[in-house]
Amino acid sequence: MVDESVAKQLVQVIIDNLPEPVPGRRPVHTIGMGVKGKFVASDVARTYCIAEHFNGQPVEVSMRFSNGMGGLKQHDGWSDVRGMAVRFHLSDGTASDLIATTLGEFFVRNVEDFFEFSKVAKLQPYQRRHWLLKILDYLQLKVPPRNPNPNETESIDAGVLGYADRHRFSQLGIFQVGQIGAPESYARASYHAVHTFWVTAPDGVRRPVRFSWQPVAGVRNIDAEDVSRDKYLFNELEDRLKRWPARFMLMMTIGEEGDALDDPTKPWPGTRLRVAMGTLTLIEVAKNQDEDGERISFNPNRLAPGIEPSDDPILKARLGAYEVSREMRGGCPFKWRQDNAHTK
Amino acid sequence: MPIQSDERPIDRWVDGLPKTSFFEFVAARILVPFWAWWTPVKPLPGGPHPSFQRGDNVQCMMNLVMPLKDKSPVGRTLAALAIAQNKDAIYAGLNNVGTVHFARFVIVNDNICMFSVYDGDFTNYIRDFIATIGSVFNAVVGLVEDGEKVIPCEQNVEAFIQWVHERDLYQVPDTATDFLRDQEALNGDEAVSPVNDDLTLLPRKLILQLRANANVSLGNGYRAYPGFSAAQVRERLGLGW
Amino acid sequence: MTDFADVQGNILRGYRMPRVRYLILEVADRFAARRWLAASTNGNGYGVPQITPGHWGANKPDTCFNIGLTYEGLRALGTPDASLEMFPNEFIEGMNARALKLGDVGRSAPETWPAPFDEPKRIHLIVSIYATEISQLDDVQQRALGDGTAWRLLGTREGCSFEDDIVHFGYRDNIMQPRFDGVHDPLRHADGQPMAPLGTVLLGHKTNLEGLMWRVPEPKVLGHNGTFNAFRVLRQDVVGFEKYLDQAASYLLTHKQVDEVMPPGDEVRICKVLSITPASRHAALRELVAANLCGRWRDGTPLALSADMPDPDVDQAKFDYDHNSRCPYGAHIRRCNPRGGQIVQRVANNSRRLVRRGVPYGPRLSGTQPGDGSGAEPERGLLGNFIGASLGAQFEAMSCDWLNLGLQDPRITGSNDPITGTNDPDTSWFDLPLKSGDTIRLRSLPEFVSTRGGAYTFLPSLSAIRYLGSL
Repeated sequence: MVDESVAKQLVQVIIDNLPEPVPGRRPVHTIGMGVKGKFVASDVARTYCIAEHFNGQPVEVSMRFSNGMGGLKQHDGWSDVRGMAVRFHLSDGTASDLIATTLGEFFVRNVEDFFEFSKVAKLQPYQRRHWLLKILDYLQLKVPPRNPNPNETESIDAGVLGYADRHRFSQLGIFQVGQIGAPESYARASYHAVHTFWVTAPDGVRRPVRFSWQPVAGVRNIDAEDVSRDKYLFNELEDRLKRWPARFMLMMTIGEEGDALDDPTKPWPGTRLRVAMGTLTLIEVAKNQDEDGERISFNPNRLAPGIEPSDDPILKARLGAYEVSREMRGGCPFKWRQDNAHTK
Repeated sequence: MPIQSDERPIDRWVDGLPKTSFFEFVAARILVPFWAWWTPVKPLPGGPHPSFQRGDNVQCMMNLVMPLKDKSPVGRTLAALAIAQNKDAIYAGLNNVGTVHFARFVIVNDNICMFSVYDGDFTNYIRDFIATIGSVFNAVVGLVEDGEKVIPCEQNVEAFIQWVHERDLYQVPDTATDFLRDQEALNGDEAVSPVNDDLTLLPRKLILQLRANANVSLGNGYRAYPGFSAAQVRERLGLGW
Repeated sequence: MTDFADVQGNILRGYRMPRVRYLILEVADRFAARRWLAASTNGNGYGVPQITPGHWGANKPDTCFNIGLTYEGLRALGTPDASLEMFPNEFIEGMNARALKLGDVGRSAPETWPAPFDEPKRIHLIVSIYATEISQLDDVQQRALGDGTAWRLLGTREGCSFEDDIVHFGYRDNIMQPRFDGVHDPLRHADGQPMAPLGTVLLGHKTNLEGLMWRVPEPKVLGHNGTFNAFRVLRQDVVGFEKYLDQAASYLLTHKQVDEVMPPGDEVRICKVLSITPASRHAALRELVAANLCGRWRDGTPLALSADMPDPDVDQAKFDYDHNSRCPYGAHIRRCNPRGGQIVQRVANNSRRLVRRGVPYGPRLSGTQPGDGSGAEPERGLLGNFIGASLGAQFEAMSCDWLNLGLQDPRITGSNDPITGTNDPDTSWFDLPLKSGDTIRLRSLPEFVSTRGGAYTFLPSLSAIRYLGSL
C-alpha cells in the first residue's frame, strides 16, 4: 500500500495544477454524469473468472462518465480524455469497480515518474503560434502546435511535450492524448482500464488480463476542427437512452509470459487472446445526479473475489489517492470487502 | 466555424496551406527530396517484428509484393496463368506445410503479390514450401524482376529465402511511437530515458520512411481469434490436422 | 564415395572419451594463425596438435583434437569476401543475434552471458580436445597454444562425463544419434527410422528435403564436407529440477485420477528397476513425471515402448510414435525428433535431425535430494554441440517452431519444452497423458535450463583447413 502521505501528495500535486480551485469536487474528471445500467456476462466468462458478476446472472451497474480535465469550466468539445467508471453491485452489498478511460496507455510508469511529470507539465500561458513560424514548421515537414481553444489562455501542452521528448516510455500515452479528440457521445468511445489484473478461474488457474469496453454503436468523434460545443454530452446521452439503450462489450485480453504486466505505459499487442466477457447495457441517466453522479466514489482496487490487482505501481498508488480525494471532497464512502483484500 | 477573437485572415490562410495543391507540389518536389538528402533514413526490414512470445508467432502476416518483368497485360496474364496452372500443387503444398491459415495471390498494377497468414518462423515456412512447391515458385519468380538469380529455388535455398524476405513489406507498427522505436533500433539506439527526442519531427520521419519503404503494411493487422495456430483451429473444429 | 578421412571426427561417429576441454580463441596474428592451421593437418607428431579425422584407420588416438571457426574467425583469417558472403545468414549474424529465435531471453539472454561469450566478435576459433585424463587435456592445450603468436586464449570450458552415460537431471543420454547412409557405426543400433542422408550433416550432399541442396561456400574445397555446429553452454538447475519432481509428485498423489496415472503396486517395480530405496509411491511418481517430461524413463526406456514402467529389456533405440504411444506430445525427445509421428509440418518428419555431442560440466548432484541450501550450488550443465548441415533448417527450426512454440502438434501449441524451455511458472503447463485418453495438466514449471554462452561455428573438412592455411 502506498504510504498515505504519498497519496496525499499525489492528490495535492494535481490540485495545485488546476486553473482554479474546485472545493468539494474531484480535482480531475470534475465534470461527469451518473448512469444506471445492467451487465450480463457471456457464456464463457465464468470459465475464466469466478467473480460473481461473471457468473452469467444479470448484475446492476452504477456508472459515471466524465471529462478528464480538472476544473469547473465545462468544455465537452475540446480534445480530452473521457472516463467510464463502472461499479458492479454484488449480491452481498459489496461491489467490484472497473475504472476505464479513452486513453489506452498511461504516460508514467510509477509514482516517482508522476511527480516529475507534474513538476514539468505545469499550466503555462498558451497562445496561437505566429503564422511565420507555422510556415517554417511546414517547410521542415513538421505539424505546428494546435491552435488554442476558444478563450483558452493557459495549457500544459508545452510542458507535457517537453516531458515526452525526454522520456520514451511516456511518448505513446502523451501522443495518444494529443490525438484523442471529443466523442459524439459518451456511448460512442472505447474505454480501457489500462492496468493489469489477475483473474482466477474455477480450476484455480490465474491469468493476467486487461479489460476494455467496446461500444456496440461504434467509436465516433466530432469534427476535430469544431471546438465550440461546450455542453452537449449530458443531453446527448439522456436523449439517446430515452430512445434506445446503449451497449458496450467487455473485452478481456490475456497477457503472456514476457508482456509488461506491471507497466501501464506499454500496451499489449493485438495478437493476444481476446475473450468477450459480457455485455453492459446503459438503461437511464441516474435521477439523483448529486448522489450518483457527483458524490459516488470509485476505487480501482475495489475488486470482487476472483480478481486481484497486479503489482502495477500506478494501480497501487490509486488506492490511496482515490480515498484521499474522496475524503477531501466529501464523497460517499462505499463498503470494502469483509476480508479487506487489496486495501493493504 | 466561428472565428476566434485572435484569428486574423493570414492565420486562417496559413492554417489551410498544407491542404492546397500548391503546397503538395512543393512538398513532393522540393521539401521531401531535400530532407531525404539532409536527414536520410534507411529502409526498414519487412515481415513481422521478431518476438519470442507465442501470440506473436502465430497468425503472422506476410505481404509479398513482386514487380513483374513484363509490365503489360501479357505479362500479367502470364503471371495469372502461372498460378492457375499450378493450383493443385499450391493447394497440396499449403495443406502439407500445415502452418498456413490463409494465402492468396493478387495482381495489383504490374506486381504479383502474395498475402498470407502463417504460423511460426518465416524461414521455416518458406523452406518447407520450397521443398513441396518449389516448381511453382520457380515458375512465378521467373516472371519477376531480379528473379532469375535465385531460381531454381531448390538449388538456392538460402538466397531464395533472403530474396523473399527483401520483398516482404515492412509492417508499420500499430502505434506511431513504436514506429519511432523501429527507426531508432535500426540505428542501434536503445535508450529509454533520459533522451533528447523531438516528437514534433514525427511527421517528417514518417514521410521519409514511407519514401524509403514505398510499400508498407499498416499495423499488425486485425485478427478475429488471435493466439491460435492453424492446426489448433482445425483440431478444435473437429476437422483433423 | 565420400572420403571420411577428410571430414573432421566426432561428426559422423562419436569419440566416447570422458573428458573434453574447449579453448575459445581469438586470432592474434593472421599469418601465424594460417600457419597453425596448415600445421594442424601436416601429419607431424609434435608442435600443433593434429586434427582428428573421421576415419583414423586401425589405431584410435589417445586424444582427439578438432576445430570450429566462427564467421568473425573466417573473416579474421582473411577469407575472401566472395566466399564469406556465401555462408548462411544465421552463421554470419552469430548466435548472440539469434536470441529471440532460439529462446535465449531473460536469464538466458546474450546480454547476461559471461566472458568470453559477451564479446562474440572476438570469438574466432573454438578448439575441442577430448581425452581420458586431465593431464592429457593440459598437454594438448599447451601444444595448441604454443608460443601464443597465432591465437589469444579468451576462455576455456571443461566437461567430464559421468559413468553409464548419465547426465545432469539423472537421465541416461547418448542413446540416439542419426544413422547415416554409407557410414558404418558399430555403436549405433537400428532405430527403425530411415537412414539419414549424408546431407543432413555434411555440406555438398543430398539432404532430407527432396531436391534441396544447401549452398556450399566457394571455393568448393572450403565448403564441401564441412558442416555447422551450434555450440552451447547450457546451465542446468539440477536442484530446481528435483524440487519440481517433488512438487509434481505431491500434486499427483492428491489428484483424483492418481490410480489411473500409476496403478497401486506399480511403484514397487518402478523403484526396483531404477534402484530407488526405500520404494514409495511418491518416489515412483517423481520418476513417472521425470519420464513424461523427457520421453524416456531415467534409465533410458522410451515411454513410447513402455509407458507404465521402465523396462531394462526393451530396445531403447527402436521405436516410433503412433496413435498407441503414450509418450506425451510435448515431451522433450518427441519435440526434438518426432520421428515418424504425426506432426503439422508433414514434410518435415526427419528433416530436422541433429548430431548431438554433449558432455556434462560441473559436479554431479549427490543423491536425489535437493541441496540443503547451506551454500551456493556449483554451476552444472551441459557443454553441447548440435551439428547439422544447415543451422537455419535444423537447429534453429527445431528450437523455434518445435521446442519453444510447440507448433508441430496443436495439443501442445502455446507451451514450451518442459525441460529446456524458457518457462515462466505463472504461465507454463505440460499435459500428462492417461491411458483413457484424458490428460492431467501440470503447471508452474520453472526454467530448468538457461544458456550461458555459445557460438555458431563452421566445422571445415581437413582439405578446407589446408586451404585456409594456405590463404
